[in-house]
Amino acid sequence: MRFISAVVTVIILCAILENFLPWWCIAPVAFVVSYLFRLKWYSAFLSGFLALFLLWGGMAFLIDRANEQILSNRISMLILKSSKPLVIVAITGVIGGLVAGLGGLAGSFLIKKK
Amino acid sequence: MRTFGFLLTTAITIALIWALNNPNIAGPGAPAMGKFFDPYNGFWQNAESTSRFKDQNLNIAGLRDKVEVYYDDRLVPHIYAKNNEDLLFMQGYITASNRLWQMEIQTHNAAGRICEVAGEKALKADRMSRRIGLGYGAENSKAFIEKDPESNDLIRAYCAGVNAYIKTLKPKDYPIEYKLLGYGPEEWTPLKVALLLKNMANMLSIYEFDIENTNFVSKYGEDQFHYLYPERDSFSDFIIPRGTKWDFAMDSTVKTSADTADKRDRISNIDHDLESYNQVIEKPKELNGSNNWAVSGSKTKSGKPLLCNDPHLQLNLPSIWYEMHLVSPDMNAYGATLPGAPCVISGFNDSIAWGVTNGGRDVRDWFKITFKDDSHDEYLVDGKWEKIQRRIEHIKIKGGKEFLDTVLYTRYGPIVFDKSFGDVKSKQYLAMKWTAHQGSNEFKTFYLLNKGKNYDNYIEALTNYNCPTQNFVFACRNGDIAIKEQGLTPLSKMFVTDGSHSENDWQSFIPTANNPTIKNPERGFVSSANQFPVDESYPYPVTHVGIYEDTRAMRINQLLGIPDKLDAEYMKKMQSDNYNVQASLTLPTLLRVIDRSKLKGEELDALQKLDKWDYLDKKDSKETVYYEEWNTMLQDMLWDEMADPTLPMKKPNVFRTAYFLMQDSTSAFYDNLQTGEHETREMIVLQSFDKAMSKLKDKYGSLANIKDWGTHKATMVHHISPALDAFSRMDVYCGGNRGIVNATSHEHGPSWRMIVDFGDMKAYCLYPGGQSGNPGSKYYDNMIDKWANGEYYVAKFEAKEKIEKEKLYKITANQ
Repeated sequence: MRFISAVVTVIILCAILENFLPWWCIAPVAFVVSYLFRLKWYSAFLSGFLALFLLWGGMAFLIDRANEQILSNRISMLILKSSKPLVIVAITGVIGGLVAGLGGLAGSFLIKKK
Repeated sequence: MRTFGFLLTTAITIALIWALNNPNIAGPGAPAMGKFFDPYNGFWQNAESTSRFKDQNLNIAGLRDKVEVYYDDRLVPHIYAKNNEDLLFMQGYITASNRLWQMEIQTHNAAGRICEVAGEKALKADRMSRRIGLGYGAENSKAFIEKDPESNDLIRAYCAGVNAYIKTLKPKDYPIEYKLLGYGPEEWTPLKVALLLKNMANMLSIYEFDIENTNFVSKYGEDQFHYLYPERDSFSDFIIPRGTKWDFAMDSTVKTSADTADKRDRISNIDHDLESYNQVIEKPKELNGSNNWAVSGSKTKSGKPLLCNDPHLQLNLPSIWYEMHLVSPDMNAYGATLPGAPCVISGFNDSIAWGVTNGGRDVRDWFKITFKDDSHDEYLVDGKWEKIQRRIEHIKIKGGKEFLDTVLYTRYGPIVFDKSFGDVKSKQYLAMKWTAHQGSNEFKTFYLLNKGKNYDNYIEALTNYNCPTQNFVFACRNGDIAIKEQGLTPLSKMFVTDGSHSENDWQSFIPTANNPTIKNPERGFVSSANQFPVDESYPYPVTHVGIYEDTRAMRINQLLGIPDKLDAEYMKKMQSDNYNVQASLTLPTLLRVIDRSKLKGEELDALQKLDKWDYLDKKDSKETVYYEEWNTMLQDMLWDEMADPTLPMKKPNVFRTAYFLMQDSTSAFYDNLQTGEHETREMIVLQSFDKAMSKLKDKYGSLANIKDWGTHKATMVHHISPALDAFSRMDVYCGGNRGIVNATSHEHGPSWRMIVDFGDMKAYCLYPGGQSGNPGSKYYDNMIDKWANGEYYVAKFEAKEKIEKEKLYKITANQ
């Protein structure tokens, strides 16, 4: 339950703060949340990763659908040299997930052992 | 242990963020990946919805009154303003909202500022732009325009509109190219408008081969020069029809310097030592051409004129053109605009239509400079020492130190090559004089044309136009048609000239009123397609620059010369006409002289197919592939004498070559320098055929397997940045080639096609691109397929109510 609350909290906070702060604010958000929610190191990483994978990947997915994959196709040709638009959506989720996951992991180490 | 874990993971997190927040980590030239992929700020923000379009209400400081903009179903904006300043303000705003990055990079290119965004690899190109004086010319134009208050106010209004749009942008809204390269847009200025026109001048008014010609004469002599580069081709189909009477004589105030009077004198006067030069400015391939024509009502089905234009340029995305409809109480203009400059460039209004092709006149000369000493502070003119002006160019380089380049300016213009730039031979300093260096106000020409009502307005508008020289075709609803070659035209030279005698300088320009023109000719049409403009009776000398090509003109005049009544459908077929005049002139000779006994199998088969070829460069033709490959190989092997990298020379053009092959069977130029043997015409024809067929076999395995012309030619419309294949359209399947009315080659072609029919006041147009400059928009390249098929859109040049009803969305702007 705590894990899911942490994921939801990270998603909501990031979705708001991204409008004002640079993209990497997702790491400190996950850091603070994993500390406050007193998550174990593995759930700290997973919650951060999952939150941003869902937020960035989900948002990219919705934009991509409305765009009929026009741009993701071109970015895929640019970066992967082949047409794999969904991979571009997935990469978006993984980049966000990794940064937030690591941020969460770091935060979990602040918690003192009982 | 936990402290260690905390420190380690924090360090890794920070390192990862750093790596994702900086460019070039994922590879050279790669953007900052975290920033770039962040769906809130990165490239995803450029992925536009394909179906959701919302009306907008804007408050924009700087507007005087309400302006309405309706985007139609092709994203063509129809702008309605209550005065012309608001109209051009909104033109700037709307253009910027669709094409901002393109506008800026084109002016950066002209100003020699690509290094600022692309790094040191652009340094040579940037130095070249500066050393030929594009920025210098733009500054002169800006100062010149400031003296005309109306033009100045209108251009400032346009710039204010661009800047009003830029001010609305947050980094997440920037065009994707900014995000890829990691920078942002800067303020738009009147200087940038001037730079954009100098950029056009640099594309279109650089046709002179003075240095190449001098080299040729120094190696092969005068007689060969006049033979291979004749002043006028006797078979030319001139813009002003042969035998047209001029209603003026040479203006008595026009002074021809000694060397323009007689071409033979010209050479001997100029450079007694007949030196050769190892540095030239690289010229674009001879592909930038264009077609335009107007048909009088006496020859049309409707009884009203028709006007057509298709300028041929490098095909790029975003396109060089942006289609617009501009309406104010005294303007109702529609057509192709140049993003970054106000008004319509090739278009029409409810009274007149106009279009342009390149005049290609020689408006640039080279003067040899004699310095007093190695300090290069003074140079000789008429026995006296004149002071050199030094212009210091500050080139900022992304990720590097500023580069300072000192360019020496003489009374003629800049010394382009010196010891620091180009490896010039000792003491061979040449100053360049070019009409593009002068201040001029081309904007005013287009502004007056946009508002024009009749022939007199057209002629009046053209008086403001200097550079690059263009053939302006004209048609009026009242029935008038006309064409005029307009530009500031000096009596220029074909060879390097001694700059130490001021008498070698340009003495005069052809008076604007005496530029070649014709109104309502008897034959019922006017046309131009980059051919030589006038016959021998024209009172002024015309410098032949060796690029005039007559093949398209011959075909156009043939197609317009038929007795039938013409209509817009016929015009559409004409613009896509694939008849290869050059092949029809050259191939019969080749087929006659080639030694068939030396051919067998597939090769003989291919040749026999060419016997029956219809000279049409159709997309589904295989014969075309045989011919075009053979022709290219033949031109290279034939003119190998002009391919010496240490002694740059110009190859005779393909048109001249056609007659050379037909009429000359013994020239020494048939010899191939690479072999010990002495080649003849017959041998070169056979060898080039063999080589071309081997090349095709290497590519396709056998001649039976070759792809058809459309696939083989693989026309592409490439993104402006050469690195961005991913934002380009490759392999566009279409017919045509250079020298053909449908002049679509591998990467050049009709960059805008327009047909205006005054019979029903309908216009048909499109260009190979799309209205949006955003690769994330469905309007980025949506017109390319129709263009490739020779189809058209009907311009929505309608009443405001109808446009409003059929709009995609609307922008209402108030101050």
